[in-house]
Amino acid sequence: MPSGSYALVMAAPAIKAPLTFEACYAAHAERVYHWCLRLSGGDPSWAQDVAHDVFVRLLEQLPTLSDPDDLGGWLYRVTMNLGVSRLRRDRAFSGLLRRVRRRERLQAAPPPDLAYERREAAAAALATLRELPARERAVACMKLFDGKSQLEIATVLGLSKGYVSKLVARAWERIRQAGWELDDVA
Amino acid sequence: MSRDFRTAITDADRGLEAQPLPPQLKARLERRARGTRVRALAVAAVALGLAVLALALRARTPGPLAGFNLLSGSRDLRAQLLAPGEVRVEVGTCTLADARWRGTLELLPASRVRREPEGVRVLQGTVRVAVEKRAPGAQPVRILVSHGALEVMGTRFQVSQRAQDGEVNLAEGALRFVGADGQQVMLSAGQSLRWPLPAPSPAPAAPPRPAPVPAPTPTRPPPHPAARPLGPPPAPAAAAAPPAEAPEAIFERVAALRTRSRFSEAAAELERALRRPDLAPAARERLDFELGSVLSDHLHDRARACAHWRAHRHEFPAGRYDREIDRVERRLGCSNPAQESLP
Repeated sequence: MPSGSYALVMAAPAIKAPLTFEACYAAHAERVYHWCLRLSGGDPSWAQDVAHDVFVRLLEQLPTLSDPDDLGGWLYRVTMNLGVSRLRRDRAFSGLLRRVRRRERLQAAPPPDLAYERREAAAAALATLRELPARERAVACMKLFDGKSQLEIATVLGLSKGYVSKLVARAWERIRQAGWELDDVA
Repeated sequence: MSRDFRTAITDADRGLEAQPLPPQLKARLERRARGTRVRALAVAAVALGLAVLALALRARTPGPLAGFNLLSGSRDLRAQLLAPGEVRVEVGTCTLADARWRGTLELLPASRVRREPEGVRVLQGTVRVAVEKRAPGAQPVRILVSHGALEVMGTRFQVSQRAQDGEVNLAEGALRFVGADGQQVMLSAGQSLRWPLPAPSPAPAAPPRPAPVPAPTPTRPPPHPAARPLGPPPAPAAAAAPPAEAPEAIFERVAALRTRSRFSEAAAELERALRRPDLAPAARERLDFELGSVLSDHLHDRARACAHWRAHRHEFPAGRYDREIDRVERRLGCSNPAQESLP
């Protein structure tokens, strides 16, 4: 399975007309779900909810998509933005309980074939990611997993480049405060 | 243990990648899509139901006025709804509008009208009709009377219907009277016509032919024998003015003078009538209002009109024509008394 980077998404085979929802779902569902899992810090239930919302949006807007050839890019933008919105909602009181319950379920996320220490480190890294505020988490995911530039992140999230730079700096600072080593932002 | 975050998170991502797509996601989406379709069907069904309900409400038994809208009425108005769309005014006046055309019907006391599919029928009494100019090609408005119909495209006139006959006085524009026997008479402003029309004279030619029926003329036709041309008012009405003349007779005479554009005489007639001590307050108010209208609209004597309206308001505080007077005063600019003395 590809790593799911944005570049690979763009390189995915174009869906030829007729552009049906079934075909879109078959081509992109796994990738969208994976992006959601990253944003959630490994929460399958949360990821499924957001992926559902993304495809509902696609269901509504498929007939009017301005550029069906860029469906991968459209899905990436919608996933990130819906994910951030959802994360921000989750910070409300009702979300607090969900987060507590979720933390209890997230023990088996790291890959089983790794050595014990690395599995522990991977689990701890996801836990650190989950502690980041919504926008910082999205920015960190896009930077660390997809290798996005700050300009690309700004475009996807509809923010200014300066604000993205500030979010990246804050996220890195929090990660380091959690005891991790992390090279400077490129 | 390595504390390099990039390495640890990359390891974690490998674990995330290995997680399969939950089958419930597809199932939820399918349910959602079905729900959307069901919702759309439900919305369409509700919309259809509302449309049917609206149609049913529109098609139900018509209201008592059955297409007439009551625009205004005098304070002493006493009217009866005899049947759906049939109105009789006993006392006072009221103004109705027919929903099918733009214009008004002012029903004077003791008048009766009925809304019919072909038009409005004047059954009895005097009715003032004003029809806004209709678009070229539109069907004319038909005012039905005992012996025919008046077809108008935009005009003002007064119809009087009596038991055996009737009369129309045309103030503006033109109209066509179409008799029940097919005779047609064109009338232009200032003319009047009585019905029933006299029977057409037989053709002098030897071979017997059906009586000629005058064709409707687009331009001003020669006056029909029954149409009175501009000239002195009918002698009986002008001459026979007994001392205790009923106000309605005065109104009719004044209306006849107005339709002949003899506005100074109409004003003098009204002034003379207003000097009578035996007039009822309601009749006096109406005569006074008529006089103000003549001064404002026909004689264009602004100073006199403004002074008249001021005196009218003084004599009839909270009178029944206050709204109309407001409009006229605004139009004339009567608000500043200093201006009224200007020529």
